Parts: sequence; C-alpha cells; structure tokens
Amino acid sequence: MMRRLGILIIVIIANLILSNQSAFGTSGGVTNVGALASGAIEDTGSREWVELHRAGDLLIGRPAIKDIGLITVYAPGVDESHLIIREVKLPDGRRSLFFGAPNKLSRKTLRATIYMKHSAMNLVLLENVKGRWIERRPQAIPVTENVSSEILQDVIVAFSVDKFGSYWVLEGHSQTPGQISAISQKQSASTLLGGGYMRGLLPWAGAFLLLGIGWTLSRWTHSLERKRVQ
Amino acid sequence: MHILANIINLLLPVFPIKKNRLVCRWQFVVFLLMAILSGCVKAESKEAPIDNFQLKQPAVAYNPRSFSLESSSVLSRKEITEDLRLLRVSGFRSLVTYGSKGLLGSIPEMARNVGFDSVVIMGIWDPFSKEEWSNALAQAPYVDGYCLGNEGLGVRYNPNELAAKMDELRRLTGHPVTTSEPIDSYLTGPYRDWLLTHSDWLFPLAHPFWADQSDPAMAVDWIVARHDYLTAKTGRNVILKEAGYPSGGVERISEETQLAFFKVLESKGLSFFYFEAFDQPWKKNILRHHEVEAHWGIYQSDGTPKKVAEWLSERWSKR
Repeated sequence: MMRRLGILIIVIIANLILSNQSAFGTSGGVTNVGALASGAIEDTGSREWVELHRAGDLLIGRPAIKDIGLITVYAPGVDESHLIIREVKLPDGRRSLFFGAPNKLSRKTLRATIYMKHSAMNLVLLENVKGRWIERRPQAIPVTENVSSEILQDVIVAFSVDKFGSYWVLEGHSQTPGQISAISQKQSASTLLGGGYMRGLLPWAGAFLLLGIGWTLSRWTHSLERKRVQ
Repeated sequence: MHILANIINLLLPVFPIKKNRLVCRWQFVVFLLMAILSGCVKAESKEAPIDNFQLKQPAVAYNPRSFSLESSSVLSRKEITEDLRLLRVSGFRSLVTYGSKGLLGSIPEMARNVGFDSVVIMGIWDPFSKEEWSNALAQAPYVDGYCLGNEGLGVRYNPNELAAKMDELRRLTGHPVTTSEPIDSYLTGPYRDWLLTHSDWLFPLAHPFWADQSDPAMAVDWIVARHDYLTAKTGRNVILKEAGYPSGGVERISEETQLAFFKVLESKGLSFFYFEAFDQPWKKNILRHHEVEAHWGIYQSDGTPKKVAEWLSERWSKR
C-alpha cells in the first residue's frame, strides 16, 4: 500500500515538474500537459510531420499549417530529414509554434528561415534562445510566382531563426517591419506577449495544491495503516 | 583484356576460382570492364555546370586600390601583385574581378601566381569591348568562370545581345558564364525568367544597406531570407557576387558594425564574395556617388587593414 502511494506521489510530482517545462515538438505528451497546466484549456492545437527535401544546398519543407508557406534549413551533412511542428492557438489569436527536429538536424543547422504565405507585415516572431525571448522582425520579399500559367506578383514575409525550438507568432505589432533593426534581448516574455502574471502563477499554484493533496492523502493512508497494525 | 586476365590470374591464389568454372573469370572481367567504364562516365560528368562547385571561403570581390575612372590613373603590375598578396595574407583564396581592360585583364593569372587556388571568376564590364574580350579569352586557363556584365541588363545592354555574347564565350572557352544583377531582380521583375534561364550559376548582388537595413544582424537576415528563397524556388546553387556593409560615410556605421555584419554572415554558411577588397574613393570623387560608396572596402584605399581584415588575418594565421 505504502509503495503504491509512494509511486503515485512520485508520478504526480514528476508530472508537475514536466508540466512546467518548456515544451518541444517531439515530446507530444509534454506539450499537451504543459498547455493545460499553463491555463490553455481553451487553446486549440495541431501537430504536423513535415518532410524536408533537398533543393540546392538547402533542405526545404512545405507544411500544411496555415500561414507557413515554406521552411528552409541549411544543415551541411544532412541529406533528408523532418520537422515536427506543434501549433497552439490561444483564444485571443496569439500562436505558439514548437519546431522539433532530430538531434542530427538540430546539431548541424546553421540557419533556418520560415516564410509566411501572406504579406502580414505586422507579424513578429519571438524565438526562445537559451531561455531568452529574442524578437525577430519580418523581412518583406517581393516575389513573382508562376501559378498554373498565371504570373502573380506578391510580397511574402520571412523570419530567420537560429535554431529549432519554441516560437511565438504575434500579430498586430505596430512597428515598421524590417526597418527598426534592434533585436531586443531585454524585454521579458510577459512584456512581449502581453500576458498577465496570472498565466505564470497558475501552474505553480496548481502544483502546490496537488502536492498538498498528495501529502494529506499520504499522511491519512499512513495513519490508517498504522492503526491496523496496532 | 589480356592485362585484366593477368590481373585475375595473379589474384587467383588469393581468391581461388575453380578451374571448371572458367566462365566466372570472364564474367568477372566483364564486370571489371563495366566498373571501369562507369568510372569514366562519372569522371566526365564532373565537367558539370558551375552549380556543382563550392567556394572555399573567404572569397573577395576585387578592384585594384589604384583603380580609378580618371584618365590619368595608371595601374601597375607591381601594385596589383601587392594588393593580391595582401588579400592572400587575410586568407582569401577565391576572387571575382569586374573588368578586363588593360592590366585588369591579367588579374586571374597574377592571382594564381600569388596563391589563389580556389575559384577565380573573371569579370567583363563591357560585353562589346574587343580589348576586354580578347583579354578574357587569353586568361581562360586561369579562370573557373566568367561574369559578363554587371548591373547593366536593360540599361547598358539588352537581354538578347547579352545572351548571344554569353553563348559565344561559353563556346570559345568551355567555361560557365553568368551575369550579375541585384538579388531582387532574380525574385521578381522583368528579367527574372531571363536571369534564371541564361545564367550557368546564379550570381546576385546583395546589399541590405541600400534597403535600409543598417543593423548588422537584420542586414544578414535580409540576405539570408532572399538567398534561401531563391535557392528553394530554383534548386540552384546561389553564390553572392557581392555581400557587403560599409564602414563609414553615415552615422551609426563604423568598422565595428562592418565587422559584426561579416561575423554574423560567415556564421550562416552562405557562399559569398566579400564586397569589397579596398575602399574606392573615386566612386565618390569622380562619380559623385553617395559618401558611403567610398567605404565598402575591408582595407582602406592605402592598404591599411580595417577591423574585418584584421579579424580575417588573425583567423587565417591560426589555421
């Protein structure tokens, strides 16, 4: 009985610890639990396996995820690979993207670029680099596309990133894209995302509550066991 | 055939073949012959387009420091050799030139003599100049490819004229031939299809500074986004003929920001030529261009190294 309770408590604590970690694409279960524990019960998410094929020196992928038209990766020594993209949409329109990649691809990647389908110039991408959120401004690229014998003029938006991991895509950014070049490293995620402190505190409060319940249950069953022995 | 049979006989003690299975020996001979022939075919395919070659970085876009459009300016073989030695000390092994008039037309040979052992691309500024043309043909043994014209499509020459000259140069030298235009012209605009069709390799110019990208990291993002889109859409190797960032001429620009730009750009693994070797004051003094135009060099016009050149030399000396 005691052993079972001990295991139960360990599982609960492990789950609590995991649910407070940054979630990365390949760890599907973790992203789900993480999203729920972060107060994202109303969020909608999707996950996609994106094959990367060679084009010249690059690996390229075309995900079906809305808005992302093309991903290019430069990883010398890797001929073919894949990405797992996890997209979580919040009710207020913000989106988080998790790009999971095999170890070899992650290790060898020197640059990667995410091309959006539309010329939404007010987008900003936040990239998590070693625990810090770095703001990536969009690069507008004028292009001509030949689509079924029609020639279409368009402006696409691209974000260059250093590594695969977690990103936020925010809309409605007021600053002129590509013009203001400072990459801010001082702003906190809370400031950049516009979130309140409750989103950050809730998982911790939940964790302590569950820990308390676990501890009480443990004490109670322990005392019952002791009475039965006496 | 006899030689092959002898080789097999020599190998018999090592890999014994039963005498009643002599047919196997001849099968083995045929197999060896096929293997050798397939090797020959493969070796021939190495003569493929320049899309297959890789630059050994760093590479530099070179115009002599004594160059000027002034009629009084005189180039000397000694000065050009000194320039090239200076660049070699910074670790450069590949270069691209712009024109082949007069002594400029001997730069590829001089570069090989001072140790440029990687890719050498010879530039021909005026596709219709007989002097440039004959110099370019004479330098064929020293070059890997030609760049015919520079930022002149629809201005100094029309596409049909240029295409004819490019075909002729290919035929006469056996080398790949291309031209150069700003990178956006390869993505959109009236000459996009022409450039993608007629260039043996894509050789665009990338200058984010003229697109208001004054922050070094953003300037590199500007280049990477365009370069990689072009590669992804065409499947071709893209080598940037010019990727540069000035060190002066306006506020907020300095040798430090120039160095920061090139450090980030190097870390991305792109194939590019450093633009450019030496400051060219004539661009401001004679052409009356913007002050910035005189400050793109990684060396000053008197040969004094800027911070980028010092960084490259230090890195090279550690190899």
